[in-house]
Amino acid sequence: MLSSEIKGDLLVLFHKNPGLIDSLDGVARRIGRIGTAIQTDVQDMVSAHILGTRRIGGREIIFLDRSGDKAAQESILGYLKNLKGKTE
Amino acid sequence: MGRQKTGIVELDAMLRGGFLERDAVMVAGAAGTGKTTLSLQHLVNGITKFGEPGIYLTFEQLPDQIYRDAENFGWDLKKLEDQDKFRLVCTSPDLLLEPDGAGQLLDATIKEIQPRRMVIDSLNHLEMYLPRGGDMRKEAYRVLNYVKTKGISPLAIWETQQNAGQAFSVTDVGMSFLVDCILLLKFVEIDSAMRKAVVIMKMRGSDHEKALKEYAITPQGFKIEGGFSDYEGVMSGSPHKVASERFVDMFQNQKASEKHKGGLSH
Repeated sequence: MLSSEIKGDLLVLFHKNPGLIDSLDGVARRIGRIGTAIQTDVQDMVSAHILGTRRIGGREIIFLDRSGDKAAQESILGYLKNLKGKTE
Repeated sequence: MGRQKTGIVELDAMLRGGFLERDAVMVAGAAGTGKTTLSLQHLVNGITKFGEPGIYLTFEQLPDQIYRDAENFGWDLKKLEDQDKFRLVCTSPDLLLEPDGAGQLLDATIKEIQPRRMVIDSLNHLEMYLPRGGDMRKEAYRVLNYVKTKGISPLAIWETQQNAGQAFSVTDVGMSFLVDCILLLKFVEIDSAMRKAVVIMKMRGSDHEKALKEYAITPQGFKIEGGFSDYEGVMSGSPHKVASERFVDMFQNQKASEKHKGGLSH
């Protein structure tokens, strides 16, 4: 999941601000980058159901997919527990 | 028509029981007067005291700053979100200005928590993102009506210049007529100290308190402390004691001076 620094920044941004709904450029500005620089990472996170998208006017907006994010967190937690069990 | 209480007892008394339900309210004031605190308190009290869920729509601050600031007043917004009674929505104003932008941004959240109150922070940001030649009044009217038709009472924040209210005009883009009620928060300088005053500039269809009241932002939030009955000219920015108070002051000064003289002659 955290295969890039941008994904990490996006994850922190949306976890601290779960009510954030903004355009690609708007989200990019909030982590000090530009839209084109975060596009691929956003697409990866949409595919992983961490983020969601929909269109307003001609623009795509991005938001936290609360249920998808929760499922991903549970899955990661389960994996870590499993890993801990194996190493003990 | 029912009343929507703010939960701030003295303010509700000034409003003769609270805002009228579904009225569009504007809280206007210069930076630092406590507009955000008052608006958040209105939402939090709505949830915790009157069972009315609420949405805080912000264009300015990121939600994490608002969560933190609210916590300083003892308001746990994250807990209220977990209980599906509150949502803090942060977006860019230009998205709200798109055709059906309000619906696309807010419909899902409205369906989710069935709010009765919504704060829009702030209308100034909408104005900032308005395309050249755009009519701010039309856009604000559209957004406020969208909220009202959902059965929600909107409270919009408007940041004014420091001297707003001196000429009894709150906004310079003529938006006052779009809202039903205007609360103006302002700084006043009295006896070389900066104090804060709140006044209800307008309340359609209802009687309301006409006098200015002094307020403070306390660790518990917005608190009205009393009136400025000893002063006149507070709104105009040059407050001075009323004649009777000046007479009392003069009499006391004279008495003190005579006592001092008497003391010296012994």
